Amino acid sequence: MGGYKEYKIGVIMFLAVFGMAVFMTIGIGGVYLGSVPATQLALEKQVHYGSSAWSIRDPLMKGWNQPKIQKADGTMVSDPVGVGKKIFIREGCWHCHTLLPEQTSDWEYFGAPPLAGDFVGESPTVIGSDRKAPDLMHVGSRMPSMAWHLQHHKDPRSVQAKSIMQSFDFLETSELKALATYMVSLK
Amino acid sequence: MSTATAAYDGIRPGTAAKHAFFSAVVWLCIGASFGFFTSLRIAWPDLLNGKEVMGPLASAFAFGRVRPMHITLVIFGWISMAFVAAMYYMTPALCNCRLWSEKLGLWNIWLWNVGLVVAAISLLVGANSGREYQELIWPVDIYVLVFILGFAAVNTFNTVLQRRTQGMYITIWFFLGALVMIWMTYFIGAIPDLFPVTGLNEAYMVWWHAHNVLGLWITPVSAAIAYYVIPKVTGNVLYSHKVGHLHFWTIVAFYSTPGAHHLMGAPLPEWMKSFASVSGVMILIPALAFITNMVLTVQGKWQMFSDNVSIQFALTGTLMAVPLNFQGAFQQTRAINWYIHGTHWIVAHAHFALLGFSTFIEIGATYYAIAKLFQRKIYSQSLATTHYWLTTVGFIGFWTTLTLAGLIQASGKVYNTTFIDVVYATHPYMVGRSLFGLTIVLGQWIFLYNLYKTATAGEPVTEKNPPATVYYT
Ligand code: HEC
Ligand code: HEM
Repeated sequence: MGGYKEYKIGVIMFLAVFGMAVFMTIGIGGVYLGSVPATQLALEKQVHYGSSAWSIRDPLMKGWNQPKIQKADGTMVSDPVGVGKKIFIREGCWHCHTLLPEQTSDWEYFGAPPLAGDFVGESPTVIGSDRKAPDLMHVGSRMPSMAWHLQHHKDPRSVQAKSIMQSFDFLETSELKALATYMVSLK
Repeated sequence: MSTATAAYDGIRPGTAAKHAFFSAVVWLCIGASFGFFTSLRIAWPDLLNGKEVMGPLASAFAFGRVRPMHITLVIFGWISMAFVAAMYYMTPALCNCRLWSEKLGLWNIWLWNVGLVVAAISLLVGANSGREYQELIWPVDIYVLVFILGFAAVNTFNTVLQRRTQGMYITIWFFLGALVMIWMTYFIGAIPDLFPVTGLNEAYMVWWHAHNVLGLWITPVSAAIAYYVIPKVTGNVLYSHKVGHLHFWTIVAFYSTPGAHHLMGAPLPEWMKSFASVSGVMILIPALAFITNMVLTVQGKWQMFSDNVSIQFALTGTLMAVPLNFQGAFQQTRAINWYIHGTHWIVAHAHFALLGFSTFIEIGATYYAIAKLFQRKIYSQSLATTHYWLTTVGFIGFWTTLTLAGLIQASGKVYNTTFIDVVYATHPYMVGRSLFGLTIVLGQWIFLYNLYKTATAGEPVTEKNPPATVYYT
């Protein structure tokens, strides 16, 4: 006894049904989404962010392998916008905040929803699924002040008494600056 | 599985299952405790937080790092490991043979435990992939695919291969099918980690993975376990194999397609959203097939619901699937999704599925299997009953407070309330959630204690092949 011979039809059917489901969703969906053309915004994001995913070259997610820019004194540093995004991922800000205004009354409060092409080349997108806190896709337009962000990240309750955002006072000063630069860049 | 059985590759049959069940319950206790810990962050953000109080640990125990760790520990530590424990126990029992390799089983479980420690540390130091439910970094993903899911599949498939029974019971189809599907699902979820897939395509794959971990792994294997425990403990024959077929095939066909319903707010094309939403409603078919089958199997034995702890847990879990699936089917339609998307309502639903439905069934199976494996009666019925009520009352309160908080947040969207007022209005509910969560956590530590005592000090059962109910009296 034993063997799977008596289940030949079952096994073939199983592989066919499951394979079909993967083909219809990941296959067709993936080809479609993969062919969306990049918008201007997407190209700008690619320049600043690079890849925000975890990498062996940056195991502690400090932004070491983000795109480099030249400072006034000629030294090359990682683009603070890209570093900020990496820290945003590392600290799990996206478990409270979304980066995706919805097609509801969000228009009035959090600004316009994005286009499909706005995400091309961005990885990961961290659009988030849980919104315990304001959407941040256009936070730079609402809150353009670096100083405000710096203060808020260090001690949210000093600027908003009822906030449930935890304080990020344990971040290094350069990291706080990068985060604030990233926030302000989200126009 | 009597103690007289000859040793096989030097290891007594059932050893891998014992290690797996105990490890899983330890992860349940730790994972749920961390859930409680993160819930405090949302209720009182300054409690045990910040550089001054936590010193160098402040970053590791921040909300954004502990939250993904909670999820990893409960899904991959508790639920998945309890699944494999059940496979190591039930597959040989149903195939009338030994586990293919106890040694491979032990390696599987201990490499798994090591992997979870590594995963937890990596999340705490901030090495996070940024993809929800797929937060582990790619070296850990590969480890999971090979040593955790791969080893478990090899062992289970080979066990079935050497079976000494005619045909396969429904539990076995689900085990085998789910092992193939979770491997593929996990792999697809890891594709953006391993290959340059970006943008919405990546988001879609990540949510396809998140959806199918629930749909093609947690839901079917939980059901498979109920298909074993409920007939076995009640002593009744399964009501219908045909309905079981319907359940199996509709899971494979309909649960695998609606991944996009998690992205209803994203700029995906209309056809993807509509397809997902319609096939998502079809999930009601397997769900109702399963529930009907189980409830009809218990016919004539309903008194066991109050006097047998395995049935109590397994049936409560099964019955939870009724509201759970109706909630799921309707909340993913366009008409409702925009309202509750992103609110605590969703978190309530997630716990409904993983705690109310799945965890309850596995707890029922764990009580049964531990007693059988150690040939001892459950150490304390009253502790088991306490565990049941703490978990049940805790869960119902947990779900209710979160759902109410979600409705407050949802109405905040519609009436354009200042955001911070909504945050403030949900505060009492967040406190309530923490308290009910603590109730659940207490219950799980009692569970662990009771199992430990059962293994070491439970009254031995010496009869050969006693009926299942002997283990509970
Ligand atoms: C526990 C959930 C939580 C986490 C984690 C969290 N936030 Fe917040 N955040 C909030 C809440 C609630 C508010 C609204 C109240 C306020 O302004 O503090 C907020 C507000 C903000 C605002 C102001 C938005 C506006 O429109 O007023 C910014 C910017 C912000 N957070 C950035 C961050 C960053 C960056 C991180 C990660 C380092 C982060 N948040 C992590 C909960 C959170
Ligand atoms: C075995 C039991 C449990 C399982 C399987 C489980 C599973 C989960 C899952 C899947 C999520 C993600 C939810 C989402 O993204 O929508 C989550 C989040 C969470 N869980 Fe649990 N959980 C369990 C027990 C607990 C307990 C006992 C508590 C205690 C209070 C708890 C507190 C939390 C918190 C605070 C979050 C974060 C929610 C948020 O970000 O708003 N969990 N859990």
